[in-house]
Amino acid sequence: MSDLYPFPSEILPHSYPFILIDKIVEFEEEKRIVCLKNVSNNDEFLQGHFKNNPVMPGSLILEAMAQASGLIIGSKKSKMAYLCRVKDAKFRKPVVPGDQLIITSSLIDKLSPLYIFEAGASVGGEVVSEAGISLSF
Amino acid sequence: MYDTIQRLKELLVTRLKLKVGVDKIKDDTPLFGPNSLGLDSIDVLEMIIVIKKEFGVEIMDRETSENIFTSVGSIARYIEENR
Repeated sequence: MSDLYPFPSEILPHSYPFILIDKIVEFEEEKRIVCLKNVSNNDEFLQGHFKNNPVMPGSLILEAMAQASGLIIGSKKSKMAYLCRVKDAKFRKPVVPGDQLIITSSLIDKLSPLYIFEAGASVGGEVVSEAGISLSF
Repeated sequence: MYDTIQRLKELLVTRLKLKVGVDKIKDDTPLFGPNSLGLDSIDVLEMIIVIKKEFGVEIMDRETSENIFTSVGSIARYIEENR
């Protein structure tokens, strides 16, 4: 099923090594997205974070949520949307190599140029992080 | 009118996470600039969405929003007149 969806890099303006979404799992246009990121020891950001104790930085989990949100609106816009607000971010559990991070985002409001999302991330069905994400053109 | 003003103050503080108590906001406290609540353009867009949801009042164009987003009192007047 997921082969139906385009690669994130075809929609997002980001590229390696800063694409934090491996693939789109579910997608409802202008509504909701579910994405996947396999966290691996090869991810560069784990090299020094932390010494002998690799943990995915919370800021990059937020970035993954922002990218997932960007995918919701990004497919037919030619202009760039930038992250303009993060609200009530919570990090409940460390994300470590081997984890499959499921990133969800739902568009809850829009008033051009502002798009407001509720986003979350989970591993094995357990919520590891949540935040309000706003993007603006 | 009083209820509208009170509700607007609560919404400003809770939705925009202002670091100020509801009772510290006066009806004519400026929203922008020095000695103001320190709102920015993104805050205005958020408030337009909130006002539509809470009061059913739409603020459609830029000129209107520039005119009414000066103080809590001016927003409340617009809401009362357009309800």
